[in-house]
Amino acid sequence: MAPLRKVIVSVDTEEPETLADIAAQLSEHGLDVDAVLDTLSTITGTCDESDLGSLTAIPGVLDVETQYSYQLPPPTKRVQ
Amino acid sequence: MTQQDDGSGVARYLVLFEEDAADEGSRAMTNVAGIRAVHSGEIAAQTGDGLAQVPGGVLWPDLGVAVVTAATDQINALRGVLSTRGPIAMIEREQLVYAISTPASQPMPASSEEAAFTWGLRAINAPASTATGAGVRVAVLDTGIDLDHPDFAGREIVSRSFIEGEDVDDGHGHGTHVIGTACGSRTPDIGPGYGVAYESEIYAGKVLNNAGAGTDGGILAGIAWAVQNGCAVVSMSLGAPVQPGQPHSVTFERAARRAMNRGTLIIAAAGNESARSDGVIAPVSHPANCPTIMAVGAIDPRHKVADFSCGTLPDSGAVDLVAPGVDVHSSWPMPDRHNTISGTSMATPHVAGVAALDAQAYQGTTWELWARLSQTAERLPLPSTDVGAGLVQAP
Repeated sequence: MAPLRKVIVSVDTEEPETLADIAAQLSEHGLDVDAVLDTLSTITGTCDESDLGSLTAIPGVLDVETQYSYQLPPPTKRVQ
Repeated sequence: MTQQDDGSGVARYLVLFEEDAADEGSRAMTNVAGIRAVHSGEIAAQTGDGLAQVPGGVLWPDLGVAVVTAATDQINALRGVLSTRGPIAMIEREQLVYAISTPASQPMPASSEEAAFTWGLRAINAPASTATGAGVRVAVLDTGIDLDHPDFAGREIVSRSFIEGEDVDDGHGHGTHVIGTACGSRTPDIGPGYGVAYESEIYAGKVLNNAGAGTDGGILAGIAWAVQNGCAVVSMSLGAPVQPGQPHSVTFERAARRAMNRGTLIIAAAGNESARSDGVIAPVSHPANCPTIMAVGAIDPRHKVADFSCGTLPDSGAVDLVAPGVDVHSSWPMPDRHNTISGTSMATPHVAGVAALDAQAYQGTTWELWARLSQTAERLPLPSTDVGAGLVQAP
């Protein structure tokens, strides 16, 4: 099985119904949907690395990118 | 109102101790710097001249303050222990004050201002501003907040955790500190005022867990929440390092543009990856490197760029403004109460707070706010690749 990737999907609509529709299609193509953020025309979730291409091909999808991760220094560090 | 310096490098300083730590602080001064302060109760002559004659200095335990005479290396030794949490809270040069012969309507003399506010608030000219942030919603996306902190008593805080399995209560400290700077108090019970938009409406979104970890997914959910709640400003003291020449995230940029279209300006930390004294300037971190997100670098009390502050590199994101980001005093989860730390994380909420003041003062949002922040910034004699438009200034 391909490695799992957390991804951000940008879509070209602000219509919640259309967003929900695209989310459903993404799900059918291997995206485990975390959130459908209507306000930002963005959908987040997890998928196999090998599914990235097919997600991008779905109508209405502008871009699919992997998520960045963040890590603050421990609380005792001088520079935060 | 500059201090008398006899040219020998010896000068007088005010040393502020943490609550109930005056005796411990006095011992620390002796052990670390060889400064012996005499308890004020033991001095017969409680006059200015008399007190100035006491070698070492004088300690007022009830006030938690000592006035000491020290050489530069002694004070440097003492400043060295400020980085670890201990009995010493602050060290400042003593100011000479003069009786004011002008009418009471004159502005406060700078000497009393110096003790009342952090250097950061003074550097952005916040104490003189009549704006308070009232009516403006400021979202701070971080490790949450200590909801029981006394400095936030009486403030309505809307909070939400986007971390599965953790509530919004701040188990790290970072979130409480940056919310304190952006929105906190000008008149805490202990220590100087440190909050910029002290009457703003606080929206605390926990997008980093108590260990300080998070992902874009959590942050985007936090941004969406802030936009839905009509927050004019989102402050994000977080960043992920990028390689020089690495393009910004197009999906995050698009999300930021949507937020901007809906009335929310996002302000993020430029990043702490530089080591300028070693000749290393690192590119602006993600997501601050997105064009539609305002990137904030850090300066120190001498208005120099902080050693760690990321810069604008070719084909990388731009630094848009700088703000105080070295030795920033703000709130910290109880029982510690306060902490003094550094980072572009500390500079970012100074800008977010000023954005809230500008939103109130000019009734503007998004692109107008960006223009106000840039236009009114204090120009610095430093490369714009390091400082953008300059040092943010309160309206």
